[in-house]
Amino acid sequence: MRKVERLVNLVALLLDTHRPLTLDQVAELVPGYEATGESLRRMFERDKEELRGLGVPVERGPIDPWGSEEGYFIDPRAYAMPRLDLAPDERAALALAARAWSGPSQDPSALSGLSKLDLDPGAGPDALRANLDGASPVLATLIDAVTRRKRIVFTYRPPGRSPSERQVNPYALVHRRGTWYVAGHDSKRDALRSFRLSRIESGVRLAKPTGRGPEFEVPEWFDAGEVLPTAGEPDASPIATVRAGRAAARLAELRGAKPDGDEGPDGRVTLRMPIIDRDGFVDWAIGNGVEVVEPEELRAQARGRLEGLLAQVEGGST
Amino acid sequence: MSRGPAQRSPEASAAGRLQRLLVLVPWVMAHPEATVDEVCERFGMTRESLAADLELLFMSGVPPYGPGDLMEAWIEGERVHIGLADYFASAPRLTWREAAGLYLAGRALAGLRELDEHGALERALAKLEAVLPADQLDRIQDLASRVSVDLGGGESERNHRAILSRAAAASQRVVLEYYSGSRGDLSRRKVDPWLVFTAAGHWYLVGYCHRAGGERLFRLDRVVEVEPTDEPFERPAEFDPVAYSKSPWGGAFDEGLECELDLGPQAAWVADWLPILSSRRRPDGRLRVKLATHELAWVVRLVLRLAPDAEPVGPPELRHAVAEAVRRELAVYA
Repeated sequence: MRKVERLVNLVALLLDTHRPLTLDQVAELVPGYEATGESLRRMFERDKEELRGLGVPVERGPIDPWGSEEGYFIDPRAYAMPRLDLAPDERAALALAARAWSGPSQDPSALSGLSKLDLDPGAGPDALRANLDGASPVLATLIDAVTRRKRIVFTYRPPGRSPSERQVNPYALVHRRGTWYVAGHDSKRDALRSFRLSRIESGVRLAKPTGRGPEFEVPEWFDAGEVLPTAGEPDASPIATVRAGRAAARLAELRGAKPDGDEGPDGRVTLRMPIIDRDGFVDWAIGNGVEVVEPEELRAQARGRLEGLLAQVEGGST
Repeated sequence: MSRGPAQRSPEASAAGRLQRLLVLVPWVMAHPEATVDEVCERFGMTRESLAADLELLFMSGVPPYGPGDLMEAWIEGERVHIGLADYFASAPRLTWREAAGLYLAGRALAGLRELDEHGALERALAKLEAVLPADQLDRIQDLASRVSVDLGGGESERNHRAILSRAAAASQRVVLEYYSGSRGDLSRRKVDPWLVFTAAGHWYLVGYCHRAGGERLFRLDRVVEVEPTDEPFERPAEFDPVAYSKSPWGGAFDEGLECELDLGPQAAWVADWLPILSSRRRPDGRLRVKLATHELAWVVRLVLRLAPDAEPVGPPELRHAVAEAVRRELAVYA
């Protein structure tokens, strides 16, 4: 008898029973529990844990009013997903959220929640798709660690440097510009850091896999938005001066740039604009033919990167 | 095309299969009209695995497992029938993972006011909160307070996205003023907006461009202006939003000039996002990828943006074009 068949019969029996059943009764009634004594008990414990992991609440209770012996049952009210009674636009909105969470992979296990709510993954006009990549296994581990306040270990490669192992108390998960970051306290550096998931080279594992209970507290002053500012806060951002041709200047205006003076004789415009996303600002400028004038540090970065590329294409190193 | 770690198939474990069965049985009982194809599509399974599931159910039930105790489970014509399974009439509650994912995504999207003008998502989330067990809800709300999702983009991008997603949902044509990254110029065009979506950290619009006379992809942060019109359009029936958002660059890189790039670690994401023809690891650790394009200027812009983490290897046209573009840009830094 295969395991899945044993489990189907077990759930059916425990849902159907009117009184708790002892382990011996379960073993007698459900095909597949051929073991006895301690190994039967271990087998049943494993099955029970597996069912709990699936959200099936196997409960324990006295089999009679005298409490002489304990047995197992599933309370159908605790088991069953209650009806949500959603209006059509609410159904469409929730389906949209589920699609965003599962991302383009449309992982059936990420969408299984929808069938439990009797929602159609395709509900509503399919004219908008956000992608939160929620089915990523690394993210699942991080969600677990953040919720249970567990310290994590992983190998991280920062931009332009060699990879190293990090131990982090994960305070928060942050999604910016299509990527997840984990923010928290880096033990070795004794400082607040954020790590981009795509730069984590190993998997993420718990520092103490078997440890019980929380391993840190998130400080009151911690604010995830401060570690990785959102795009919608230009007032708080430092200001850059850039120069661009007319078309690229319109593009810069979309990022909050304001023209500073008139067009130059070369047809280029000087603008002042907020540096909303420091990481991507230079990428954006050199990718769109925009000259960074100030701050000097970013200007040097832009120039240095372009010179590096020129050396590559002129060097014929390959 | 590599796209992160492989998905774990629900077939892979007994737990995964059981999880599916516990949802499938009540769903089929609540939808007695459902056909084999509908069930397969909804649960992401093949006809063979559905048949195997029904066979398993047919042999299962409650003691003493006589004829009236086993479930009915079979295919009648094209319909799926499951009966005598009253104990499985309801789906099990959401697991904490399912509830957390739905809730986090819902909170993130509800933050996009323009997408939830009538508060449908807020209302749906409130109903969800009301039925979650108290301990699960506590855990999820604690998690939600530790998760910050910003799908926003700048103010103008948000406004444009609002107009475009409304026009796409209502099948109404728009007029775009658009900045072309590869040519560095502005143009006005009439577009049938098919789908607004995110990919690789940006919002995009795909639709039929009347100026180009074909399907085009637009990056929302390059849309300078949008005007809705009241001209209706029809999205082609063969356009599949799921397949499209999975591989938005689809056929664009299948043919044309073949370009080779050496990608350093900072540029390695390109290999995940562009449909590359081939890739191999170089002795220096960089990834050499090959992609084909009809628009060399596009690849030049990509190389510039990644500079110097994506080295153009060949063909000579690409190296020359990059060298020329870099010299032009560097001239202003002199």
